[in-house]
Amino acid sequence: MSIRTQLSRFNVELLNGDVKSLLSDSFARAIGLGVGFVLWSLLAAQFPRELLPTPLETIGLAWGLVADGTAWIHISTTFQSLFWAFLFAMILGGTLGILMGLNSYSQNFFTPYVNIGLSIPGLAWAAVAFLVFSYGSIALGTLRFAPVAAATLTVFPYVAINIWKGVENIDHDLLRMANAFSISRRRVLWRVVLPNIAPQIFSAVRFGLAIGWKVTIIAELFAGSAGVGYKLEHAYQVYQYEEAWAWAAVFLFIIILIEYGVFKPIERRAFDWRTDVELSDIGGQ
Amino acid sequence: MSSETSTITTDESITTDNAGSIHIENLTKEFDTAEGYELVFEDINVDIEPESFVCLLGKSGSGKSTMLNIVSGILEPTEGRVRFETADGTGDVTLGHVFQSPRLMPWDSNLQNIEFVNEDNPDYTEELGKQHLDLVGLSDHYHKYPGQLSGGQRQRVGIARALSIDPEVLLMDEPFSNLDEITAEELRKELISLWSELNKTVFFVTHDMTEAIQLADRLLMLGDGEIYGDLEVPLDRPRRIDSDEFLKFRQKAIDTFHSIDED
Repeated sequence: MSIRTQLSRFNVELLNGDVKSLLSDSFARAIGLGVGFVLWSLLAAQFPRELLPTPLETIGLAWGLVADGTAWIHISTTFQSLFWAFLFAMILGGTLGILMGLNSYSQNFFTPYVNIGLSIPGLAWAAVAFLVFSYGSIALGTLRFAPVAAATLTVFPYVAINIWKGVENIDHDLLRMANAFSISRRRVLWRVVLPNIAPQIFSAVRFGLAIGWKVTIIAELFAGSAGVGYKLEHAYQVYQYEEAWAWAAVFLFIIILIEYGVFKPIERRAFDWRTDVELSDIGGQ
Repeated sequence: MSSETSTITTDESITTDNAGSIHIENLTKEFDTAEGYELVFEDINVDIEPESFVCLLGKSGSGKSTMLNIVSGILEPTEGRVRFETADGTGDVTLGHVFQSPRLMPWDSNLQNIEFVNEDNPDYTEELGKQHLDLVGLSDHYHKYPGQLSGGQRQRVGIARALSIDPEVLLMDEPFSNLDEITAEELRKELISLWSELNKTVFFVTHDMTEAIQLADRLLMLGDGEIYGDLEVPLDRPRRIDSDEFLKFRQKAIDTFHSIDED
């Protein structure tokens, strides 16, 4: 058998192994969800429907919110806040992260702020933002400032720390290579620096959104007049607990959609070279 | 790997008549350290002819890489200068670099790594990139990533990348020192084939005497801040490292290399 045939067979086996592991991963995930579904149903059976509906009832209620258009109005408000908070956090955190990665003076200057930011819970920022922005009444159109401020302040330290570590760990040998070949700064930025820190940027984006939406909803609980958080609070105030569950289900569905419809494809596309390298890792050749 | 050992065939689009000469004039380098100024070397004068293969030898810390970095323009000399003469008479030289580790971008394919350094080359085409990978025996690896190659293959991509910019001078900083001896030996043979085919001037830094004698037609020895040894290698090519002539010259070179310790 030629070496080439042996290698392709090895690769096929490796791929088969990958498919097997994928199947077992999906199976484990399905079992996990199934167990959760059963436990929820059992728990729901112990309480009145108005307090804790079953999973199927919750899905039915959530579908009702989507079907009559109510969900979209409030989801769009929440996502509007999340979008701006995320944008501001990326700009602020990204700038601090780059400065901290580039020189030790900036690192020493900003580290206390980043550490303080990391240790303050989003709930505290939500409360502060609620007070500062006059009970949430300061707004620009439908955009409320309190949720935006709370989410920005919570998320930016996570972004800063990720970008800082990314910039700090840039492969300097590659920068020296680019310098030796007299490559322009712009080309070095696009072809060397950004791909080098892409995993950290990606991690910052993912983490930022994950924390950002939670804080946005908390801030809306305090200070909203629209949005998913506001509707959760409203449902609680008028004793419609099953509607609160339905709102949570709608938002959860959207987060899953973002994870699998946006993040996973981007991740696959951005880092496909790693998969190729792993799949053909056949040793010394 | 041996199946990929290249039979060097140069395409017509690869230039073979543009070697430049290097003139190191009164070169001095000092580093400003916490303990004061540290002299690396002083008043060095060397002329390297076009199409020659010169090895710079020295012990660790002798300043070999510092000199190479000054020649490449990455470091500024404290005094003196490095001047190049080119076939077109302008002195405007293109330098190709091959590093100790290949320094390839892992997220780019081998072809993209070659394309990256051809930013200012209006004549660069994908075909030219492929021709340079062909030149180093990597015809089947255009679109593979460096992580999919062995250490020797990665260094071949590094050599192809340096040659792709059509340099008048090729600067090589211990390019085979991280490879196993069998792979390094293979690459030395290929480098000599490439050099004799492409007629480039090569300035090669190494600490390995046998490697230097195998490759170079002139040895420069750097130590104690000066070039204390300058030997022409009088051996015909191809050179067999176990031949009497090789061993005899190697002994002479080693004696010269260690002469600095006796002073």
